[in-house]
Amino acid sequence: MSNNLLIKEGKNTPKVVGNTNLSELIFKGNSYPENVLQFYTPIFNWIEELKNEKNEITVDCQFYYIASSSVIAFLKLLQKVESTFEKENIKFIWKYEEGDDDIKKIGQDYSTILNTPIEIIEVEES
Amino acid sequence: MSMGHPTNKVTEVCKLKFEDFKKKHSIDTSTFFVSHFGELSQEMVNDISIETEQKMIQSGDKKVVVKKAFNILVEGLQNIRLHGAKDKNGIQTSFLKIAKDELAYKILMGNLVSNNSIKTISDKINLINSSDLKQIKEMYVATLTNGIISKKGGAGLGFITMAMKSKNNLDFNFEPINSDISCFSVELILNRQ
Repeated sequence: MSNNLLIKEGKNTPKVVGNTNLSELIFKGNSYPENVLQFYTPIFNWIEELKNEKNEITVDCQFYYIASSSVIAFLKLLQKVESTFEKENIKFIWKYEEGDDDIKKIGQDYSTILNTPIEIIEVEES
Repeated sequence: MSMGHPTNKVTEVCKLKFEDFKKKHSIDTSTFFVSHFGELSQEMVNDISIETEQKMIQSGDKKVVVKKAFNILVEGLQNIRLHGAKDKNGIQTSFLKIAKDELAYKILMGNLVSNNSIKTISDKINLINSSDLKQIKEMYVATLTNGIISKKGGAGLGFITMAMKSKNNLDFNFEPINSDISCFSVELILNRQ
């Protein structure tokens, strides 16, 4: 059975929790590492491993600060999910803090590019 | 400059640009906020961005303005680290200065560039400056859709993102240093309202 994934929150990287049992991948925090590939590659690998166990996935994310290179890297991650799982077995949730139109717009941009619908949810300020 | 230590041309040209900004904004009612001159580590990018964020919050700026400033700084400073040229001594000189008045933040960022890349950078920024916000957004989505991340981790969205956040033109300049490199600087305005 594939392992759960746990990446602790860093100064410029989000907390990432991949729960194999629940088929859930959760991101929360900031994402502006200088080398995005280095940070996101292990998560791509976890998605591959999850496919061996499960045929469904939920990706739930809430970013506070996200740099442009992370916006692209995260889009690639969502596209990786799309190419790995069947569309009807994917759930994407994009959360943004109340009033944060910039983060909301990133979710909307993803919606126009991806084939899977994204649930865009406003959450209260933390 | 002290006797026996001839001023390094790189430092001289970059310092001049850095001081010009200070002079220009000393005439108005600006106060200076954050300042950096020299090499920039990844850790310093984080520290400067966080320091600026905290100072802006203390100044009573709205969260939306603070977040835009933070994003502009991260894009600009990472651009410097990823793309800034080094002089012949291997030093990646760079600078940042932020001035603040009642209405706006004025942000100056600069670094060395190879003279070979001047045209590419100029063309890119001129295209952004000659576009309206809707066209800039289209450029952003097109770059995002093509989604290419370089080995260094850059994604080609730095200037576009800076322009989208500032909603003002990117005022840029190249000061020649020698036949290989120039001092590139970009100045932008972020309204506080």
